Amino acid sequence: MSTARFDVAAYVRQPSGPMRETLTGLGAALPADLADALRYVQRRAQGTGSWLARVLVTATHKDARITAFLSTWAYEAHWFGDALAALAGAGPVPAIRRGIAATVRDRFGPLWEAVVANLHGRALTGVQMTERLVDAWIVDAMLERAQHLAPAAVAADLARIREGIARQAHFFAETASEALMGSRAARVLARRRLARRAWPIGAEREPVAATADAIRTLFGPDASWADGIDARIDALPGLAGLHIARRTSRKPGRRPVRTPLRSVRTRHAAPVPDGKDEAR
Amino acid sequence: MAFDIDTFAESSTAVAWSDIDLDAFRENPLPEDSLRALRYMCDVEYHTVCYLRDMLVTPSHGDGEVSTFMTMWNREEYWHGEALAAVLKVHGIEVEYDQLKASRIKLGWRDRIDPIKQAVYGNIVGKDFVATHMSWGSVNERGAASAYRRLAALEPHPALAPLLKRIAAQESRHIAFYTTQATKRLEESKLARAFTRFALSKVWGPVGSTIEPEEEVRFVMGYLFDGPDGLREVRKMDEAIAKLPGMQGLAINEAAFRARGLYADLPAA
Repeated sequence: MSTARFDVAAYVRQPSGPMRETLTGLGAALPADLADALRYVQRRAQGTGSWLARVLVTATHKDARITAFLSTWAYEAHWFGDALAALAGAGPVPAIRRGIAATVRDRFGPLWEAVVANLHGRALTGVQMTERLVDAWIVDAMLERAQHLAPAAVAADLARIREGIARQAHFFAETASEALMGSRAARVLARRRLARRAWPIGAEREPVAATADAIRTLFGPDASWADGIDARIDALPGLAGLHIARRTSRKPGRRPVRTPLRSVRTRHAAPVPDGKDEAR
Repeated sequence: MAFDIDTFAESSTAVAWSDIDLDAFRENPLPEDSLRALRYMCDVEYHTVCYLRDMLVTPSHGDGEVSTFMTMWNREEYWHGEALAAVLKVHGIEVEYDQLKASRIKLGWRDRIDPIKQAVYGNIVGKDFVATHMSWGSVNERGAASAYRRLAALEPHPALAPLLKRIAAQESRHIAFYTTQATKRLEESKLARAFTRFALSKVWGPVGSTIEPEEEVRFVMGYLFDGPDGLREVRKMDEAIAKLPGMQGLAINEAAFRARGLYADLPAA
């Protein structure tokens, strides 16, 4: 990874926009299960609103550099999703039966987040950036597998989308690492929140079976993809031993019953420079 | 005419100004009052992401068309801010990320409470709140487009007027979306009409009035809309709002401007 600071001004000037007219794999026949998996990723890409709602009610929205990035990131995500929809073609959208608890979470989640955000302050920014980084890694792994399973023309289009996601991940990696390095509160909170949620982001808005089908179609019984991602998460300050991807591989779409607040690896991990905690 | 969200999204683009000779401002700079108005507009445009936040906590974001529109709209408004910042920069006024951050921090508790209020209203009113959101957006976008056109008329600088007209043209597309959505949703629900009328008449304020000091609001509104010509423009805006279902008789712009001391010598409608 380059050590140069991510140039937000350059990024917002040259986003990836509509791709349909330049897709090489448009109309290529895809196996039904692969098309379903691509539509699953498409719904994640075009479902950024719920996540943004929870982010922008926190102190993160005050950071104009981050909001400039996120405005363009949401725009790009929309068009990545549009390209995936075009490649996958029309297909069934799984019926999502939202229980009372989920409906209450949907409606009051941002409200609750706005309230607790006032307690956590800027530590939450680190958590949010880390969430998006991990999500980018998982989605990239899904698209990488889809590339192997798809005809060459579609694979070329997926490669372009992955390039875009990699560019976005550069920003998230930089911002997340800085926040986690600089704040113990961010590390503790990130550890708790990342471990508690279902992955990829938005899986909680899908039937469990939809996430399971997408993971099974793309990865089959091989869980080595998860080990690679978990190793990258382990390398983030204070986040060793969460095994998020491994859990996603074993129980896709489900939130954990028990949260691993501490792990052996964390206790033995290289010490994180303490520095001044500027999270609040 | 129906608003085609797909066409809008595909043609959504950052406002262009690379073909406009900004160096013309070095030889012929804008007067201080126009720069002050531009700075206000620039702040408001950059602040769009905070309006987006207030809307995302309501049921609006669950609607596919609205969600797509807001993604494009937010980015277009950001670029309006960038374009205006480029003009200000030629005049030695820098608008950097750090300054924007500082001004957002300065908003304090009000800024923290706004999304909570929005979420509470959204949850009380439910889906019908989308109609209020769309009507509010229609009023604000109309106000913004009108302000740009007024400034272009008051300050016909060869480098400024074309830029402002381009921005106003994009704002007009936003008006079309908001108004189409608002009309449809207000027609469908009595509760939506009642709550929207209440919100516009009791809570609404001119664009920027929640984030800029009152002194700046008064200055900019006076600079752009004072006098008979300004009042005529303001009444045009109010007439458009009054055409929305259930909003007959509202004159919220004129009322807000008169409350700020404008048109004291001009008769009320």
